[in-house]
Amino acid sequence: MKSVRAVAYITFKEGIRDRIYLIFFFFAVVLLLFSLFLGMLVIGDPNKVIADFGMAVMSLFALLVVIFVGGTSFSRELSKKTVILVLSKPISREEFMLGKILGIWLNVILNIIAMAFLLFLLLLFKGSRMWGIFIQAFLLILEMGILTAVSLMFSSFTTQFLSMLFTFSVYIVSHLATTIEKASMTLKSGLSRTIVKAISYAIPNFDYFNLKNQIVYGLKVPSVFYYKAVAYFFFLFLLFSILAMWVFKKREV
Amino acid sequence: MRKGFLIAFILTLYVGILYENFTYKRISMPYVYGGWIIRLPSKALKDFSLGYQNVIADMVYIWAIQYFSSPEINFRTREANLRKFFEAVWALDPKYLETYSTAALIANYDFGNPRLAIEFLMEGYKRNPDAWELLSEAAFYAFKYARDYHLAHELYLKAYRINPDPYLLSMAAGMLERKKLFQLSWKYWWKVYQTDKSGYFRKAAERHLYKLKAKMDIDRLGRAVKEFKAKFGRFPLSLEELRERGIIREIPVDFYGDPYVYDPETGKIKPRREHLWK
Repeated sequence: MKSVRAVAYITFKEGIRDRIYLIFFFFAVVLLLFSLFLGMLVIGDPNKVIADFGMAVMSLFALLVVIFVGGTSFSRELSKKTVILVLSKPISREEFMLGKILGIWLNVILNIIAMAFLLFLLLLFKGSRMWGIFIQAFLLILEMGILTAVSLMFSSFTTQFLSMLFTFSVYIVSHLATTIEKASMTLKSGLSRTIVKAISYAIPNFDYFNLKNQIVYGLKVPSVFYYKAVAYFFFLFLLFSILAMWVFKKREV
Repeated sequence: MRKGFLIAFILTLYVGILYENFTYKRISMPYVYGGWIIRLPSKALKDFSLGYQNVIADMVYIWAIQYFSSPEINFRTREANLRKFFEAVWALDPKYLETYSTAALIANYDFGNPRLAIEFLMEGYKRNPDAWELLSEAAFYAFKYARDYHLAHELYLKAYRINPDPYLLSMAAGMLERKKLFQLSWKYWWKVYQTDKSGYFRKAAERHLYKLKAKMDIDRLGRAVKEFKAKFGRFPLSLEELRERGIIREIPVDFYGDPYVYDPETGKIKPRREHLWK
């Protein structure tokens, strides 16, 4: 566990020094401030637009951090052969991979928390106390944890570019699960409908981590949803982390 | 030497950029205003929003506001695209109440179509059955612009059932008054009078109750006076005479218990508080 912590810490430190990370963070802050301007353009409550836009920026930039930092960090270790140096120490491949996942995830968490605070302060400045933003930030942290594991799983057996592409594809597909299920209803044939429906259940469903709409309107979400979201996170996070560790163990470095 | 040349070259390039920037507006480019957005697919947008439906709805809404306030776009094109625009927003974020109001506003004030405004607001109500504000707004368009007092009364009453605000009931009562359904209107005003705690609507209700009662009583008394004249060939000397001769059972009094003012010369009856009447 100590070695996992060490790898995670170094990855985290490396991550926040990464230029891409800082550039993304800078642009996210600029866009969050831009939401104030968008709020002025609507007829009605500007805070709704600020919150919507802010939460979208939060999740979009968290995704970019996972894709780029997650995609480059591991590949860099492989191309610079630093991984050989680390693995020559008394540390297993599984521990190394887990440390990597947690380190990158910590980077994303820092990014999300900073943006959530900034958004909350912006709304506070506009006279709205929207605590729900932190709930969405928490769910986003869970979602990005899964995606980090997915990203490193792909990084451990493909190239940097392909890993980014695959991670992005997983993100898109996971957000389309409900749409695919809905699309299955429009099919006439019973068999094709069953197949498409089965696909919609087989893929991850990231709608578990999306409460943006309910939060903006202050709607009460049943507490069972949160338990299920956390449980869902554990299932997927463990699955992809184990897969990443397993693939990395089989790989030659 | 080489460095100086490089700096001069960069500066020349920048001057060129500045020139292009200044002359950009002089080129007349063919352009269709808002051309790309008019083909917005409403349902597809929601299905492919990847969890960002709220922010996409906001963007389409902001675009819609810009689009409908651009006189450069042909008036008829704008009118034809009104529904398309807002249906895209509603498919993405059906709870966004302001958008229904804005669509109604554009339909009524820009295109002079209060029926369409009411339709939009009712669509919002269908999607948000608690949104009494939309019903109240629709009622306002029905009464003020479509002059459909029957519909306005129904909508105000529907809104009142969701939110028992005396304002809504008093508006419904007012609509009935315009339809000359005084009995029912009296019933609503009476409820407002009894239930309003703020005092504001109670005062208005008091005035309307006075007016309505006077109107109904004076109508009745007027008929009785006519009947008296037909029987006896003259106007009664007082309202009391109507009762004595058995034409009416009792003489009505106004809302405050005061008798009506009767002129035996002309046979006309007036309320005592005429300032409330007008």
